[in-house]
This record gives sequence, structure tokens and C-alpha cells, in this order.
Amino acid sequence: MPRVLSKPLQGSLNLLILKTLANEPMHGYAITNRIQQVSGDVLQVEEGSLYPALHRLEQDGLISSEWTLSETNRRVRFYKLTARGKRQLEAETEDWEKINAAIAKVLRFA
Amino acid sequence: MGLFRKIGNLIRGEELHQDAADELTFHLEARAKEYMRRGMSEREARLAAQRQLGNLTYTAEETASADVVAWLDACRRDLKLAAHVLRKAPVFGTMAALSLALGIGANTMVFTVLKHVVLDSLPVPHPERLVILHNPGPAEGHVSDDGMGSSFSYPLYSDLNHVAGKIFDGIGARYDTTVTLVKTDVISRAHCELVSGNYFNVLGVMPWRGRLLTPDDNRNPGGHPLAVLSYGFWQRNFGGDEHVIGQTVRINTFPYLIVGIAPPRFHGIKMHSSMDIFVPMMMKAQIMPTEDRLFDRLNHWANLVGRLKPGVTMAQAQAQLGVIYPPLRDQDLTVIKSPEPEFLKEFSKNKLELTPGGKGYSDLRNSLQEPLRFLSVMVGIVLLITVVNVANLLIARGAAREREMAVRLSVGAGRGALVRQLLIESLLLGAIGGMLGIALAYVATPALLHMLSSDLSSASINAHPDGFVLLMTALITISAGIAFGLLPALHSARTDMTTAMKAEGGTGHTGGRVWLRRFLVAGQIGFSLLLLTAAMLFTASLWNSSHVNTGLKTAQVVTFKVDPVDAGYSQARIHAFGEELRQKLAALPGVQSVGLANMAVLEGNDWGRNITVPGYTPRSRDEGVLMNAVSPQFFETLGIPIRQGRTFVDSDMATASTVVVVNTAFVKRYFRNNNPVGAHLQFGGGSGNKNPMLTIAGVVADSEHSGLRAKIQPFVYMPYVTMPDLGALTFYIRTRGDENGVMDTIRTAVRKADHALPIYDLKTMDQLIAENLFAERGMAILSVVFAGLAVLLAIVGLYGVVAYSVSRRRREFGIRMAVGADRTRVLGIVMKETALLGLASVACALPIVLATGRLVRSALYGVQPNDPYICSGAALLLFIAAMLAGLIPAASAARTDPHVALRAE
Repeated sequence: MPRVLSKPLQGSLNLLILKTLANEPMHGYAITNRIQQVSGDVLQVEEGSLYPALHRLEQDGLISSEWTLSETNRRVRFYKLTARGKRQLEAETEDWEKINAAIAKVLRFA
Repeated sequence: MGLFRKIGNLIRGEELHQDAADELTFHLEARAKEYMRRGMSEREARLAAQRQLGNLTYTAEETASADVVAWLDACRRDLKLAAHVLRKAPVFGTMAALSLALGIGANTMVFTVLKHVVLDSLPVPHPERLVILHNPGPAEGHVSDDGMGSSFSYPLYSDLNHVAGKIFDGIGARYDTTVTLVKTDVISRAHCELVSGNYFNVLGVMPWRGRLLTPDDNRNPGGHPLAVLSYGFWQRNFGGDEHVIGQTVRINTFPYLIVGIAPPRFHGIKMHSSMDIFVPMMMKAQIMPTEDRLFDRLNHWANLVGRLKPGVTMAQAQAQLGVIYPPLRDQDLTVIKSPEPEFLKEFSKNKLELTPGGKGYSDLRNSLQEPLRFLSVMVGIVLLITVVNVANLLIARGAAREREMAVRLSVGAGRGALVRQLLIESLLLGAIGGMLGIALAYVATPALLHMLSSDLSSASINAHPDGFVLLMTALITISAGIAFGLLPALHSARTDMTTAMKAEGGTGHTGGRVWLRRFLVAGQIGFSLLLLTAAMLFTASLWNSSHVNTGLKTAQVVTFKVDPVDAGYSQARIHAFGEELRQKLAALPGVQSVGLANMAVLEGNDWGRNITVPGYTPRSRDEGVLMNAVSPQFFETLGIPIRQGRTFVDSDMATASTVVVVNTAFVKRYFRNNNPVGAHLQFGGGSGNKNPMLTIAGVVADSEHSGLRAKIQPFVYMPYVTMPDLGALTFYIRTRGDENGVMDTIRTAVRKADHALPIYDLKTMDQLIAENLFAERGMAILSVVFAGLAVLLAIVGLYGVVAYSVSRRRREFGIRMAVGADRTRVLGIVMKETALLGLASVACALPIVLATGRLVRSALYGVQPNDPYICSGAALLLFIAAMLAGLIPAASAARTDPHVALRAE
């Protein structure tokens, strides 16, 4: 059974979103799919928290959004990374790696 | 998020929602398509997609949760929930809303009166530039002061107005008096304001209809019989008919041309009075036939109001007046005959003073300012007690809702959201209470006002809350809502989920709450002790005032007035008329005796002179006596006993008569209590005194003259016909049996004597005394009402706390009784708790009561604010009430059935 990202992991959800958007602009649905796919179904985004997270990131100016029309003529909202978002992603990635390495050390040697 | 974006969101609320909905719908469809590709049916796929995303609307709103719109939306949701919660607890809701309505209503009422009576300015443009001029120094000659403290002679006024153009746009002069007004067949008494030509201009008043008076209407003495009517008078007496402009009206028998109507609410610079008619000052001789002296520099009477030029401050104006006034002042010296050096020294220091004139002058304001201040504090305390009461109710409910809160916390509600929801519940309660309170204020404010003042003309005061008052009430309501809601809300939000969920019926986590509630109740009891003491003090003061020994026997005495001078009578005709009417009235059935006087008794009027008594050296230049000019039977009718000699008889009623009657205080000062009958006195002082020598014919007992609690002064009574300038006559009639029945007979008799002579102020003396005590009675009644309300709320609060505590200790009582405690013992336990709480609150509040007592000292008569009987009486009364409130839950505790109580858990 894949893990579900729950609220305490909110910080990592932001990081995942930023990373996913780093390559190309995407809509919300595609983001969930991409995270699930890339993580090999281990990480399944709780969809109820995805959109609030996206909007919060947008309000913080880390991502921006624009509306386009889908093939089926529906309004679709695409999100892309802003310059600030890129910097944030780099910083958070670095933090994450440090913490991961630290936890790994503890798990191995403690 | 940027502020602009936030504001933008606020405006684009609907659009924002649509965006969020579109986005989620797209997501759902995409997800459903995917599931269908994997082989689900369309229906299954949709359901699965929805399950995956969660509640669609919830998510949509969560999505926008950082947005203002969403926050407001959450509030709206909370409001709906709050309304639902309140509907589900009707008893709590009703009690809380009603007590809030009383608290807020009382505040709105008092504030409405305060606003209209104390805070409002004159209804003129830029009232802040108006100033009232005063000349406080000693003055020679005749000074008439109606309380404004501003009395100027006309010559001084016109000089001032002439030279003060640098600092003032203009200075206006005015004086008010009553006149007899005849319009076709209708004769009435009217309030007339004599005004300078520039008066309306200085105040900046525009005509409502026709025109107002100008300087050209005030050039020659007696030459401008023109009148402007007040709006109210025009409406009442002429039905608002515009054709009256250009018609004539007779004032004191002279015809005047009506030139215009003043705007509504304008009554000159005397606020809260009802001025009826405005006439140029040059008509003074016609309007006030007994005292003209318009051009006499020693006749100080006119009140001056100036309009400062824009940009001129009061201090600058004051400084300028210091330069331009002295030469004008010294002109008065040319007409003062043989002034004493001491007087000259004082006189040369005279200077003018300015006070802000934007609020004009108001007797009502002067008399109600202090009572209203007390009332404001009292209703403020009542509101505080109300707020505490509701907070207490909310805490009690919070205990009952602990599980609800815990459940909501456990499903993920933030504590902030919980506090918000509880606060919105209290704000809703506050809003309901506030609206009820405003409704109450609309209905009851006129009653409040009429309780405080007997002479209100509906024309000059609006007793309803206006926009400003409503705004204040809204602020009070919101702050009250937050005040009583915040503490319980924070308390509830601290709910510990696990204990609360486990506990059956909320027995856990309540210790702190009980102490908080006890503390709040103690505060309520303390504050109500404050109000109760104040109410008892005001009541005692009223009792003392109404039982003061006036030296008069007022029961069954009727009084009325007529003003023959205004009806064109000569002095000789007044004497004849007075004697004739006196005899006619005395012959009426039901009448025992009739007296009349020049000065009305107990109506706030004084008339005094300095006198010379051979063999007595006055202690100061200003020492004098009070006087009245009266008829035979005056003393008998008012029940003033004769001490020595005789009072006046019919044969004394001759203009050349030289007998006088004095009172005991006079004998004490001037004759060291020796018999003065047959001794002499002379009006006036100084060496060259040409006044006739008068003989004391008798001595009467002391009695109150100007008011109920005035200081008893030496008094000289003279026959009224010896007065050279008699004005209005006040009659006193002692009746047999029902005095109210005789009033109609009296009215008819006066009309028969001269139908052109209006009778006014017809009332019983007891009514007159009641009017004297009107504000005090109102104050006493209102303070009792508010104190009663406060005590009731405090007692309800106490009852609630004790009852709650009993319900929590059921089990304990059950055990106690199971092991042998009897009912009395359990009763005792609860009563002891109640008594401790009551005693502690009273003990804490007493020092505060004693410390704040001196603030009301000036409003009390014959009782000290720290009166031991009253203070301890109030404390005892409150303690007894507290014990009674505790008795009900205590009895319930004593009825505890140990078997039931022990099985309950």
C-alpha cells in the first residue's frame, strides 16, 4: 500500500511540487500523476491538499499560473516556476539533502 | 500575499470561486477518464475520483482558504452555525440576548440623552467659532443675570461691536423674556427673544421663510415693530401657514409685522428652550414695559455672543479685548455717582472673558450634566455586569460543549478556527442584544428624558437615537461581544481532546472553570454593591429633600400667575385689579384664603437689596436682605406662622404705606433677637439715603423662598402696591377639600375678570415642589432601576455558579449522605460556600464603594456618601439576596438521593 502524504509532510509536498514544475509548466492533475509516476507509486499526493498547496505557493510568489484551453475546450490552469521559486527549490533541495544525509547517518550509526 | 492582491480578491470573490471550481472539475474529469481507461464504469470512475479528491466544495474553499473571501466565507459559515447553535439552546439564547438588550439599551438611552443635552452644538454653521462674552468683575447699577453670567449694558455692547471688527465677524446681543401674544382671538404667553440687528447674521442663520432681522431693523427706539417667528411656534400656532408673513400679531397690545420664520430647531443661543418669537432690541420698552433703560450704562442685562473671524483663536481674541475694552469700561465711570475708592480699585481691574459659545447656553444642560454623568457610569457598570453574566453563561455552556469542541479538534479543526467560531457566536448574540437594545432605547428614551426634566418642549429636543448614537451602540455591541466571548472562547479552545472525549457528561477539566466563574460572579456582586449603594444614597437624598422643613404648609394650596403689565395695564390699574381679583377669588366656593406676591415662592427667584437699620453696622458693602412684595393673607395662605406683631391688612394696601413685615432670621441679624416691632429700617445704603423710613409691623417665621434647600436669609416683606413697577402677579389660594376641583373655578373667575389676561402656571404647590425635585426623583428612580437590574444579574450569576457546583458534586454529596451526613449538613456545606463567596465579594467591593463615594457627594442632600447605615445596609441586603440565591441549589443538594447519585457513574 503506497504511503500517503499527510499534513505533517506539507513541507515536502511543497518541495515535490516545485521540483515537478522545474522542468515544465503543468496543471494540477498532471502534477499528481507525475509525482506518483516518478516515485514509483510510493508517493501518492493527497489530492485534497494539492490545490491549497498550489495556491499557497502562488500567493507566496514561488509559482505562477495561467489559464489555457484543453483539447476538449475546458479551461485548464497551468502552473510554472517563478525565478523566486527556482531559488527556493535550490535552497530547499539542499536542506532536504542535508537532513536526509543526517537522518541516514543516525539510522546507520546510532 | 500582497495587500493589493488581497483587496483584489475581496472584490473578485465570485470569479475566484469560479476559477477554483473550474480547476477542480477539470481534475475530476481527468481522473475519472483515467479510471475509465483502467476499466471502471463511468459512474464508478466519477465516484472514485471524487472520493480521491474529497468533498468538492470543501476542497474548493480550502483551496482559497488563504484568501480574504474565503475567510469571510468561513465567517458566514460560522454565522450560520452560530445561529443554528443558538436556536438549539433557546433558554440560554433568550437569557443572554435579553440581558444584553437591557445593558445595551440602557447605555443607548443614556447616551442618546447625553448626546442631545450635553454634546450637541447649536444648529448653526461653524458653531466652534462662536464665543460668549462675560464681564465677571464688580458692576454698579442693576444687573440681571439669568445664569449665563453674561450681562452687558446696551451702550457698552454697541461700542464693543463697533471696535471689535478686527477679531470678530460681529457680536450679537440678546435677552429673553415672556410676553402676552394676541393673534385674532387667541391670547397666549410666549417666549420672546430681544435681539440685536446683527444677531441672526452673527449666528449665520438663514430664514426658513420670508426674512430675518438685519441691523436696519434695529435703529430707532420703538421704531421697528417687526417679529420673526420660531419654526415650532409657527407650526403650533399658525399650522405652518406661509400667509402669516406680512400679517400682524399683537405683542403686549402693540401690533408687530411678521417678516419671516426662523429655521427648525433654531431657538437662539439658549439651547433646549423654546423661543417663540424674535423682536428687535430697540423694542425693549414695548416688550418689557416695566424695565426699559435701554441706553442706561448702569443697566447690565444683555447677553453677548460673538463670531470669531476665521483663523482667530480664543486666546488672540482675549488678548485683543484686553486692549480695546478698558477705554470702553472707563466710560461707565462717568455715570457712576460718588463711587467708593475700594470699588474703583476693583472696577479698574475688570476685564472681559470669553468662553466657547458653540453650544450656546442651556439650563437643561447645566442641570442634567452631573446626573447624566452619574447615569453614564451606572449604565456602564450595568453593561459590564451584563457582559460578565453572558460570559459566565458562555463558560457554563462551554463546559457542556467540551465534547463537541474535542470532536471538532480531533477531526482537524484548528484552534484558531474554533476561537473564531465561538467569537462569532458571541458577536451574533451581541448583535441580537444590540438590536433589541436599540429598539428599547427608541421606545424608552423619551420616558427617561421626561423622568429627568419637567419642562421639556418637544420642539427643542429630539429624544431618539441618531446616527452617531447608533454608531456608538454598534461599537459598544461589538466590543461587548468580543469582551464576553473571548475569555470563554479561549478557555474552550484549550479543551484537552482526550480527557474531554473520555469524560462522561463533562466532569473532567472543570476546576479552573469554576474558579473563573466564581471570580466573575464576585466581580458582579462587587459592582452591584456599588450601584446599590448609589441608589440607596440617591433615594435617601431624595427623601431628605422632600421632607425638608420649608416653613410653608403647601398642602391644598393652588398657585397661578397673570401679567397685567404685558396686557397694557397701568400701575394704578394693576393695584385695583389685584385687590379686586383677590376678593373675587376669596369669595369662590371651596376657597379658604387668597394671597398674592410679586416674587413667586420656590421657583428659583431671588430679589434683594441692601438696607439701613439704625444702630446696626453692616459687615460688608454687599450685605443685604431678600425681599418680596405681598398682599394681606399671603402668610396665612402659605401657612407661614406669625411670631410677633401683625401681618398686612387691607388698609396697608396703599402706595404710600410704610409698614413692613420681617422674618425671624432678620430679627436675629439686625436686632439680636430683640422684639423689633415698631422699629425702623430703610432700603438702600450710604450716607445720602433718601429712601423713606419704614416701620416693622410684625415678624413671621422663617420659610424657604427661592428653592427647597436654599439658605434661610433675612427677609423683608412689603405691601405689593408700594412697588413702583409691579410686573407679573403670583397668586396663592388655600382651598378646602380637593384643590384640583377648585382649579377650574379659578380659571373661569380670572377669565371673567379680564378675558384679555392669560392665566398661566396654574398648579398646586405640591406639584411645584415635585417639579423642584424632578431631576432628583428621576435620578433616584433610575438608579434604583439600574441597581435592581445589576443585583438581579449578579444574583442570577451566583445562582448559576452554585447550581453548577452542586451538580458536579452530586456524587460527593451522595457519598457523604451514604456515610451518615444528614440533609442539614449538606445544605450547610453549600450555604457555607455561598456565604464565603458572597462575603468575599462584598468585602472586596466595600473599600471601592467607600473610595468612590465622594464622587457623588455634590449630588447628595443631607446624607454623606460613606453613611455607615446605608453602606452596611446595602452590603447586608446584597448578602441576603446572595444567600437566597444559594438556597435553591443548596436545597437541591440536600435532596440528593445517595442511591441515585452513586449509581449515576
